[in-house]
Amino acid sequence: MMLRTLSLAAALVFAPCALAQAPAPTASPSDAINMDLAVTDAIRTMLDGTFDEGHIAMLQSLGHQKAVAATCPGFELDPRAFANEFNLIYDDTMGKPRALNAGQRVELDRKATFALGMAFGAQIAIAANDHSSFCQAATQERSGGKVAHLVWAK
Amino acid sequence: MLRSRFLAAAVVAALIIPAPAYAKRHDDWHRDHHHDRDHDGDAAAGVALGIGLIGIAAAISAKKKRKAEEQRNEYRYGYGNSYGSDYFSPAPDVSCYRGERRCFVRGQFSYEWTDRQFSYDPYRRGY
Repeated sequence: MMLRTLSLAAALVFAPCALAQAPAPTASPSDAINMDLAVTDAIRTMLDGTFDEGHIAMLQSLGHQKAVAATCPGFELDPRAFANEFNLIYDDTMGKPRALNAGQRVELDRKATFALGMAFGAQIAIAANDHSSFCQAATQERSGGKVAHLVWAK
Repeated sequence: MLRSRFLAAAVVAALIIPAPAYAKRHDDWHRDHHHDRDHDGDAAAGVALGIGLIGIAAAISAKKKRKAEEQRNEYRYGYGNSYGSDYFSPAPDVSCYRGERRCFVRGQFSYEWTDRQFSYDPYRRGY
């Protein structure tokens, strides 16, 4: 009984110390990841409020795939698939067409195109850090078959 | 800092200076014996109003500048190794960042893991 009380007391004393000393799960990102995260933040700031998470992910995805198609051998864009994806900017989160007047539509187009350009340019720059790994990762994603909505020509 | 102090002083002056002018107009002693003082009061109020307007204009300009500075700060994310605090690794070689909703495999962007960790729209798209 005494031993049990002592061990309980010891646990209560040392547990907070052990928890406090456990390192936080952090990792210093590589330069390429830093670049990706920084441009992601810039894109999110620019699109703030106009597009939902799906739109943001889609525009960044298109920018990346366009950069792969522009710099990696064996990759081309499927224009129809690309347009199908990009045109999702005109839909709301439920997949229904947004109610937009002509001015709003132009504004939406410009912002989405701007975001696409930002993502494309950033990914070209990121690819320059390690071009062969950039293309290799894209090849694996394409052949893995686990990713839906890719717009590369098959 | 100096500039904001100047702004504060200008606004305070604009608020304080018209007060004696207003008081003079309603002071019996001045009204009876020094009617001409009212004109001085008007002039002082005009100057104060001018200073006040300049102060307001400067304050608006300062606010615009501050907003632009804030936006620049947002674009500056990542400087000074500020990334990494929201990092997690759902699998070996996979690193994800919650704030940006992005995942990487061995340092390269991964659709598969980004979608798996941050699928955002259960209704339809399933990116």
